[in-house]
Amino acid sequence: MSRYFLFAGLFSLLSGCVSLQSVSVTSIPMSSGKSVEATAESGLLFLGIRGNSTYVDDLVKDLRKQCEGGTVTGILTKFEGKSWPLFIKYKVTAKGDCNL
Amino acid sequence: MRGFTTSALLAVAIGATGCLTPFHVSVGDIDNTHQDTMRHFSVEIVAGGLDENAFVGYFSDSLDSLLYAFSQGPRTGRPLRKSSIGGSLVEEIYKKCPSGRVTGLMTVRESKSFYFYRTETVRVSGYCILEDS
Repeated sequence: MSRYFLFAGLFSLLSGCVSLQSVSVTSIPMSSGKSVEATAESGLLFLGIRGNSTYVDDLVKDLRKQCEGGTVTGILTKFEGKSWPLFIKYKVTAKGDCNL
Repeated sequence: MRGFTTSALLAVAIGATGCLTPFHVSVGDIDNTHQDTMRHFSVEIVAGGLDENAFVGYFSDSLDSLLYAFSQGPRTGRPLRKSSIGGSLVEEIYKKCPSGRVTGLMTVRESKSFYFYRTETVRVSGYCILEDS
């Protein structure tokens, strides 16, 4: 019986906990175009120690690449963190509509 | 003794790196129709100071609680002495992009702590559409 509790405990630790840090949305266009999406992840951080947040810097560049010569609007930015014992990982997802 | 030295060195190394706490990331609309005349820019506003709560809390938990009683309410990061921080953000963007035609603005709000010292940061990056386009 205790073995099941041990497995259940281990499984719950490995699956981690997700927290939503922030969400933002920009103006949504009348007609939706091609959907574009870019993500940036921090990698696994021990005790959350990290000197910078440069991993998010290419987010806009990635969206621009997917919509050359157009406009990206209705951008939903979701910033979330996933934590395990001693470790944490951050992820930013930006999703919008490309109108050419 | 060797263990103590290793631990001390490790603590100093971690302290020097600092502990970064991100709070908010948002991306604004992107006008990519002026691809050839867009220039990337970045603005950072940093407010730093002694982390009184961490400093006092190191010596006394009750004094730390007392300090917190004076800084209640929802917030991100540690309390600051000045409320004007971040107010000059638009002026700073104008300095980097005199045309005022900015697009693809990404705003990052984060906090970094080095033992008893901490910085509260707002970082904005984006693209400036040059005037002659």
